[in-house]
Amino acid sequence: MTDPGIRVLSPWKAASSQQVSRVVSLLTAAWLAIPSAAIADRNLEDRLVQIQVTRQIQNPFLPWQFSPSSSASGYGYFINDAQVLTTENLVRNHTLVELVRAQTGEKITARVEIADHLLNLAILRIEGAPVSDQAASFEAINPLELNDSVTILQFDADRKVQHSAAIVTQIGVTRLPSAPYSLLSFRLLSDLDVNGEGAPVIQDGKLSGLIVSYQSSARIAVMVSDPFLSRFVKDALKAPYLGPASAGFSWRSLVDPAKRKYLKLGTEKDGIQVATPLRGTPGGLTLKPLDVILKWDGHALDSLGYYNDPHFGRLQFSHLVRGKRSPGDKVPITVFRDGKAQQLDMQLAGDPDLSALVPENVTRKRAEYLVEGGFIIRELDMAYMRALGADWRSRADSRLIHYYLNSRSTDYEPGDRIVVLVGVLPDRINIGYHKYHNQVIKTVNGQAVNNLQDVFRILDTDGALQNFRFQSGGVDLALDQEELPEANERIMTRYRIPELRFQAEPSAQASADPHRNENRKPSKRLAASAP
Amino acid sequence: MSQILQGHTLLSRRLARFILSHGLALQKGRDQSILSKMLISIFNFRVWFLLLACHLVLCASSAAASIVDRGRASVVKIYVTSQRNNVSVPWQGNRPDKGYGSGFIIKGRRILTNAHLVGDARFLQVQKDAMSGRFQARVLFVAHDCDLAMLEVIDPRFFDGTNPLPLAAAMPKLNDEVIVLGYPVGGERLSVTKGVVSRLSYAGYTHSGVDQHLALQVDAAINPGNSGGPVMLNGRVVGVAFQGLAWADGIGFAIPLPVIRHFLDDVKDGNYHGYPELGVAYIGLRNPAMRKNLQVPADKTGVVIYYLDPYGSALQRTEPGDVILSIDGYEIDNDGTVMMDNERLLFSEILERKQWGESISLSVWRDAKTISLKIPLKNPTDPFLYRNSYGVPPKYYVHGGLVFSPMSREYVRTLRRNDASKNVQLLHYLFEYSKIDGHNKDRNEFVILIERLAHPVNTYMQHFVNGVVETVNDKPIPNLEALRDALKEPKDGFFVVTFMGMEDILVLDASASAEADEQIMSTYGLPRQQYMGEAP
Repeated sequence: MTDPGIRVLSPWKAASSQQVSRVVSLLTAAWLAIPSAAIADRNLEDRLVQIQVTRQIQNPFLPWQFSPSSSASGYGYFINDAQVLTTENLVRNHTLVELVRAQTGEKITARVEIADHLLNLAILRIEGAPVSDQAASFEAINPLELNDSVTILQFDADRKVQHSAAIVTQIGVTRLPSAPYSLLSFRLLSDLDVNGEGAPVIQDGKLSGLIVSYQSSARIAVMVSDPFLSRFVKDALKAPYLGPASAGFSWRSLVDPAKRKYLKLGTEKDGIQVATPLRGTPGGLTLKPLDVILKWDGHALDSLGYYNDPHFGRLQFSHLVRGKRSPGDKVPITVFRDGKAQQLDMQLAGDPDLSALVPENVTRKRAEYLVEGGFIIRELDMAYMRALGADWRSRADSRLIHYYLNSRSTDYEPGDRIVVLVGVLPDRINIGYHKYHNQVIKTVNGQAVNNLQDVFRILDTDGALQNFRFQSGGVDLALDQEELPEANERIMTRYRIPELRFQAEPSAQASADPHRNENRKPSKRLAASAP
Repeated sequence: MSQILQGHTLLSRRLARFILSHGLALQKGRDQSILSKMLISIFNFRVWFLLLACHLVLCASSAAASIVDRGRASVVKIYVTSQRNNVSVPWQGNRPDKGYGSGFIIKGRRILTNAHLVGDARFLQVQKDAMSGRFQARVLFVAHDCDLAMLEVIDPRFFDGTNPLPLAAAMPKLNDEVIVLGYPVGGERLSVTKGVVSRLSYAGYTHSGVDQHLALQVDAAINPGNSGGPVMLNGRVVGVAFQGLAWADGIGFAIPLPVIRHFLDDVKDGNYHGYPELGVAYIGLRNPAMRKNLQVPADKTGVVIYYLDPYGSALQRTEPGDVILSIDGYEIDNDGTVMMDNERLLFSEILERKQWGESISLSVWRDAKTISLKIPLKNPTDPFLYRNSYGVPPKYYVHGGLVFSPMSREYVRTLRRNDASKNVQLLHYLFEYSKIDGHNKDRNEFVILIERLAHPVNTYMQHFVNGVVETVNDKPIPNLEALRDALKEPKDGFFVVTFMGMEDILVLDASASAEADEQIMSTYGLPRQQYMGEAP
């Protein structure tokens, strides 16, 4: 999976990072030569590397702008000569990723090969390093147990490798700090403060996991371990990378005696209630609201959604999906529907966010946009609203919040999105419309708009966007077609917009979503401003 | 007048609502800002709106002296004990509050004052300056949409020796010197202050939270107690002081003559009907491309109908895309203004002067020609307007410890805007967009599960709180009465309740919940299981 958001953000940045990579290519060669091919000889300390990331985030409201660059550092773990395992959160929205060696402080550029926000894991490759298809020397790791002693590796202030003893205090399915997804994770009580995410955790001379977050007041670190680490590395080394499986439904515990009686379930505390099967996901295809899931993939579920894991004991059943299965797998489930138990098969899929009406876009992947006659147009996603700050609910338009929160129960076709007029850049051409913002666009040039691709297509076909109708009104806001090319040029210059249109190239990820690939044309400048 | 008509667009209406609700919060002491806390703590009155402060030096002229003498006889102090409803616990009221304000005697032995002074009154007394006796009064008419009320005094001897204050014939002009009479904080006796007319413009009337009318701005500071007092020019009333801006200096507002007259005319038949609503949101015809789209010739000006309110008079008589060129013969400019009384005012001012049941003539550009429309101003009551409500307690119905009550402005305001609950966010959305997005269809109120009075019968139902009831046993629920009736007929021994935007269902075991109700009512001290708005 190549995430478009991870690629170079603009031609300008592309040029600069290419220069950088040329400059460091000599270094690369030298660096690779030092430990030579003897990866097996490297001890674990040698596999620790510091990662420095420079990042920029798109301004969701003026989508051609980016935040001032900021930097962050964390750690990674060499899984072979050329590739480093780290967290996805660390390299999100990067413009440059550099690896720093212990003690010497040498820096070398790396690129992000695969990043998976569902697992919060990423693999980097040293720039210029040959792509070898050997699965490298990443050994399977032993799952940890409660009270196990482990060691966290990191750098101290002098860039010497530091060992911090830690013990496993809790194992359970918890929410990732970097994404609204739950994963089996391990809480460690650490002796020393952990100073960066991605720090490897070792036990008995083997990697056990990576730190994904750390709370200094309690010295609690959260670690992601197996089954995710081994599977991620294994999957990542063979294309195409599919990511973890997802089922696509929300559920509720089923303890209310009145509801159990109504559903004709026994008083035995078993089964969970399906709340919302998500549209465009396996859950949406297989399940109905009020289905009761009694067994999942061979395991009985209790009424709070737990099963008995042979290794970890009582675990939330979502681990059976993300932790045990891959997209495409068929899992048997037992569902209690219409008063009787039935056997169903569910074919699992990948990231459910792709089929959402309002995607979470937790990685803040660069959003597509269009500026026409000063109208700023884009699709609604959660990044758009969260950019308003912690009190985004107070500040965002209540209708947009509604679309986000209730998108899964709204009537829509897979591939539909909410297309939003972000605002209007005042200009002569749009006089009278300056105060419109956060409007949901329903038609453009009289044609229905269900996602931004529709708008791109209308622009390419009609040559201009001149009539806009919003959900709130019954009249088109019109722009003078003849004046549009000139106005677009003027607006570009006055508001310093490098590109009036950003349309992502079709990517592996987008092609997983067939609808969004339809009618997709190569990105080009606004037709109206072309000669 | 409709809040929809008066906002230039929906956007500005929302802005107006924001400003209004901010003002309201100050009044209620709910706002968290330091400023409002300070104000509330300094003046521990519920009614403190406007007054003035500028020059306390009285003008020595004999004319002024006579005005003050008249005022002394005719401007009264109103003592109010009021009690707000408690929307979260609808079967009980809040702690009674005491406050005072001003009013003045008008023709026919009546007292004119502000609605916000008497809206929740439980007990009212009036007192003349320099007279020790207080007389019990009662509300004759109250107009929450324009913050005016008329009182009568039970013992007519109160009016002995008083003279009604006459209303002026015409509006004052900018910079005219006016005096304000009333009983603000700082002393017991009548106070006189002086200022000039600073501005005449539209302002939100914070008392209702949604209405806008003309307001007379005077360069007066704000003090509690002046509310309801007269603003006078040459011995005649030109306004009723009613509100101020808490964060500004020298900006005080009075209800001007046209609004006062509208109220007095309206109640002549013994009922207050309120302002008719046209129910039109519009865009000024300013963009040449839009003009071209609608084929409007260059010599015509007007506004384009953008949205029609389902409860407005213009519904089905006009269409979005119609260009209103003139109204009752007044030509509308591209920004929605008309020239009237030598002032440039929003065209809605013409509607402001109409009574419910009258009609207006519109000249409208439609399908490339001008047509004339006569529109009777007879809009139905709009249950989704969500004015602040006063006096009448909220309706409620309790079943199985679940308290249901219709959506109201007061209830939504008890919920934080930033609340992470999906149910709460849905309420905020419906509060703002229910009509525009068509959620008002097939219902006349949103029935909310506002509270769970904890009891074993409802232990697992907390996540439904603040949900909007959609159906009970598959029957749609258009209002609270329908919910009550539906909760009397179980199906197979169950009530199955669904909520808007929620796939989960609430299941009540009918026999268990009926049994529980008696116990719940006694435990939680409910005087009755329901209140459906019947007169007390």
